[in-house]
Formats: sequence, structure tokens, C-alpha cells
Amino acid sequence: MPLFIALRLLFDRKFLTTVAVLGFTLGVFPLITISGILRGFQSKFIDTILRNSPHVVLTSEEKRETVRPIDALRSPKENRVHQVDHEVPDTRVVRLDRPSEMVHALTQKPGVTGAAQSVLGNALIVFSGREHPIDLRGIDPLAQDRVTPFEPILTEGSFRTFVAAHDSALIGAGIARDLGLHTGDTLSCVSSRGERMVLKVAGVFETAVNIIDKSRVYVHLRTGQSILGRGDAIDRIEVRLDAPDSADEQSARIEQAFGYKSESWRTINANFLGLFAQQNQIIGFVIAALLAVGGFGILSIQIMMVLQKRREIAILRSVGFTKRDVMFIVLAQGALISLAGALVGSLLGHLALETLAHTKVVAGETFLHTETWIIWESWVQYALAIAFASSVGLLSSALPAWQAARIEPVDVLRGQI
Amino acid sequence: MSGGKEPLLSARALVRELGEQMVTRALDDVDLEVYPGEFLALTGPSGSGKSTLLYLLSALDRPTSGDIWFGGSNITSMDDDRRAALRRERFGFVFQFHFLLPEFTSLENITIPLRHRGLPQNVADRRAKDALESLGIAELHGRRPHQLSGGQQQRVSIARAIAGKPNIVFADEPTGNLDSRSAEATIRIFEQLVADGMTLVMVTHEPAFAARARREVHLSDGRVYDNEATRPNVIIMR
Repeated sequence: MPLFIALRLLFDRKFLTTVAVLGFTLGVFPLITISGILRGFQSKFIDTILRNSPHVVLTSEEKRETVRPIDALRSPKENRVHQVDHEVPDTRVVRLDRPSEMVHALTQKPGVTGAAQSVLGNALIVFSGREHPIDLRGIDPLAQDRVTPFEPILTEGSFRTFVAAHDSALIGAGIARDLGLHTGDTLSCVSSRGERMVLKVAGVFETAVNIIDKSRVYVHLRTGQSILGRGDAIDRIEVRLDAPDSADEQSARIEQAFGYKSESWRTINANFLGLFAQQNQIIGFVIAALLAVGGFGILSIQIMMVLQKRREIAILRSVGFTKRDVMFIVLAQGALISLAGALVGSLLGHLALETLAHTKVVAGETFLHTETWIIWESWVQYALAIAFASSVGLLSSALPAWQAARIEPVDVLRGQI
Repeated sequence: MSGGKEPLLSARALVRELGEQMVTRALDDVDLEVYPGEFLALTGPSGSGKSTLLYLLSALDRPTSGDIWFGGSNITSMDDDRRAALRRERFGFVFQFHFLLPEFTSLENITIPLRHRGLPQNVADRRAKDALESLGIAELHGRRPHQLSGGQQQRVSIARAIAGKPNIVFADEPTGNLDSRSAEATIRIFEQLVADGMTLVMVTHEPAFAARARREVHLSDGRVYDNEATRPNVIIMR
């Protein structure tokens, strides 16, 4: 019965109820829309990273502490060196020791689905008299395919052709567009040391990450080592996991096991992920502020209602409604208003996201290449928005409900309030 | 007066003080008994304490001291919830300004307390319609209070009070806001209800209507007095 009364009182005050509902609609609508866009971009980014980048990277930086003999003698404990003339800086090149065995060991580890060694460096490619700086990656094609699969990202050419020919290359779609390259074309690749090699385009790939597509070129490991002048050195080993969420723990274990610096995809992309976290916090504050405005709307309307309806509250109390019943009526009104506002806001948010999902992005070149807005929708998002808005509505009604419950019918009958 | 009957409601040494800094004794050592089936009028000038006594008897207010017994239970020591249940299930109320909920129809105003008691909707509707019919306003069941005259509103208010078949009905100046015809009609309804076995306690300052009650308790300065003499705690009986 209190719920029936709450509903009827709301319907009877259509204007005030509509204003209060709109307050919550205006909080929930941007909440759904902005979180849908942000989460859409963030999910797409993480999805792209996980698909096109290794989950763990083992680099040639040693983590074992090595102390040079001269430094040992110079330590306060030994204190046997007083002066050193013409000290030569430590120019020792650290390289991954026995990388093939490490790859083999890594692939045997539980949770690892692939591991591949690679070499990387900067170079230039020259085609039709035009030059383009590139991020050259020398890879073991079949092993690398198990870490970052190529088939899904190839827009032309064939991975099999790339595997078959040692002088072939896979070119990022941005480079291909800039230079007008296509499968079968021949280009020159020049390293910073002046090494030059002629390569044949076996395929063009597109990861949707513009910075990769505009700079990366894959060649065979030996070819890469030759161009970059690295001999048989390996710069890093890339690892793919069956559970990317466990990358931090796996990375720590790998680092401990092999003694080389190991980074998870989270560490490598910490800047972006940190930015996302900040974005989410800022948007969270904005949305909370919007919903707080809605909450204050309910608070003021409910306080006004309680002041106006003292007589009706006294009637209800006199015919046997308890203080709890009266509190329930006011709280139910707050919850119903916020629920209605949240439902309308959710519907509008859904329509906005659906529209954006089919709307072409007009911004210039962005970090992720996309034709339309990337959106994210989940029932969890709607459930959380509705639950959060309803909680704000309930909280905002707590004070008016308490005020209403304190009204004694006899005070109203005596005309004291 | 009691005819050997046990009182339905009895008050002993009731004191009610009002105000916090300037304390006024609105009721001073009042004893009173209400018997089943009687029509009791509480009379007295403004400020005499008659409405205060009615609010105490009907569990709308608590005395500063003294006890009120209803059906073997001391209602002054009951918690708020039990007192609310008493008002809901055992008492009926008729107020001077009708006190109807403006957002609800006449029928809903009557069924709300019944539904809150847990009666099914069809039973509550039937009882409400019966009450409206017995008061000759069955056709007004769909109207809201602002669509009714003062007399009609008061009848709806009486229908609400009696539809729950209470043990006792409390009426606070029920004719105070009515024209003479409506006031007379209201008193006739009360007389008929009492004739049918209902117990009624009515506050009124109209001597003519008080004279229609079977018993009149006159209050002055918070104490109970005889109408003719001024003996404390003496009640006129007819």
C-alpha cells in the first residue's frame, strides 16, 4: 500500500516529477554515452595491443647485477683504489645468451602459447626514388606467427609467400599507401650503417594502430640481422600467453628464470593505460557531479513535498500508517524518480551509442584507425548506471523521509505545524 | 450507566502538559470511562482540553502522566508501531476538516486503511462501497475530495471511519466546518450508527449536538466538570 501511495503522489505531481526525472536522465544519458565511447576506444586499444603485440617481451638488458673488478676494488669495503686515470666507460654490448634455447624453454612453460626471437632497428626503404623511415623487424616468421598472427592483419599478399622467400618483406599499410607499394613490388632497404638490401613485398598488413602501420616492416631474421649489421645477435624474445591478464606475473617469473629484463604488455603500454585510468577518473567525477545535481533536485523537491504534504502525512499516520511506512513512501518516491530517470537516460544513451556506431569518424588521423566510432555496450554498464542513480535517489530522499517520519499527526491536528 | 458492562476504554489520572519552555497543563487529572455502544460527547469551551483528551484516548498522543486502558492493554506504554496498529484496526477517526487525501478518490480514501490492514482489494472495495451506500453517497465513489461539497466530504470521512468496523469511532468537531443542514445530517448518521451498536466519542462545542449524545462530559481548564453544577469529575448522564 505505501508503494501505491508513493506512485499515486508522483503521478499527481506530474510537473515536479518530470523535472526530477529529467535531472537523473541528464546524469545517466552522458554516463552511458561517454562511458560507452571511452570503454569502446579503450577496449579496442587493448584488444588491438593483445592481438598485434607480444604479451611479454624479454630484452637483452641484464637484470643480474654485475660488478666490474675495478668497481669492486674501489668499494668502501676494499678501498684499494685511490686514483684512476683515463677510465674507459663500460661499452660492453649485452646480448641475449643462447636465445634459441631460451625460446625452446619458454615454449615449454605452462601458459605460453608461442615465443619468437627478433632483432629490430631503424632503417629506410626506398621505392621509386622516395624514401620512408621504418621500424625494421627481423623475425622467425613461423615462430612470430604464433606470437602475433599475421593472417588476420594481412590486407594483401600472402604469409606463405613471405615464409618461402628470405628476401621478402611484409609492409605496414600506411607505408604501402605513402609509397604506393603493392605485393610483388621490389624496394631497397638501407640501414643507418649504410647496408643495403633489395626486398620483395610479399604482403601488406594493417593492425589499425596507425603508428605501427606507418612504420613497421617485417623481414626474415637473418635478413634483418644483415641489414642492421648485428651478426647473429638477438635483441629480444617475444612471448604470447594463453591468458594475457596473467602477463605481469608471467613476466616476473620469466625475468627471474632467465636473468634478462622482461616486460608485460601492461608495463610496455603503461602510459596509455595510465591515461585511460585518468580519463575514467575525470569522467567519473563529472558523471558523479551530474548525478549529484539530480540528487539535489530530488532532495529539494522531496523537502518541498514533505512541507506541503504534512496534512496528508498526518492523515496517513492517524489511520494507522507507521513512521516506517511514511519513510518508505518518501524513499520509494526518490527511488522511483531516479529509476525512471535512469531508464530514460539509459534508453537515450543506447540510442546515442547505436547512432555513433554507424557514424563516420571525421577527425583526422587518430591513434587507432577506424571508420566509425568505436563503442562499447554491456548490460553491466546499464545495470551499474541504474543502480548508481537509484542509490543517489534513495540517499537524496533520506533526509526528507526522516523529516516526514517525524511529523506527529497530533501536531498537525493542533495546528502547530 | 455502565449497566454492569466493562468499559471499552478507560483513562486514569490523565495529565497532559504542552509546550517546552512555557508549560501549560492542557489536561489535569482526568478520569474517564467509555462503554461499548455509547455515544459520548466531550464538550467545553475552546482550550478546555476536549480535543487533547480525544487525541490521548485515540492513541494519537501520549499523556504526560496517567494511563489509558483499551481491551485490557495499557495503550500509553505501547510503542509507536502497536499504537499505529490500534488506530488501524480498532479505531476510526472523523476530523473537523475531513482530512481526506486529495490525490485519491472517495473509494480509495476509504480502501487505503483497509488495504493497509491486509484486506484483499475486492473485500476492501466491497466494504468501502457498503459504507458509502449506507451513508447515501454511493455514486460519489469515483470523485476526488475537491469535487465534493463539505457535507459530502464529511460523509466520506465517516465512511472511512466505519468501513473498517472499528471498536470505537473518535470524532473531533465533526460538524465544526459544516453548514447547519450538513451538520444535522452528520449527527443523524452518528445517531444511526450508535443505534446499530457503534461506540462513538465526539468532541463538540455545539450544545445542541452534545445534547443528542447519551452522555456528555464537560471539560473546563483541563478538568472534567458537570454541566449544571461545577463539581469535578462528575459526568452528565441521560
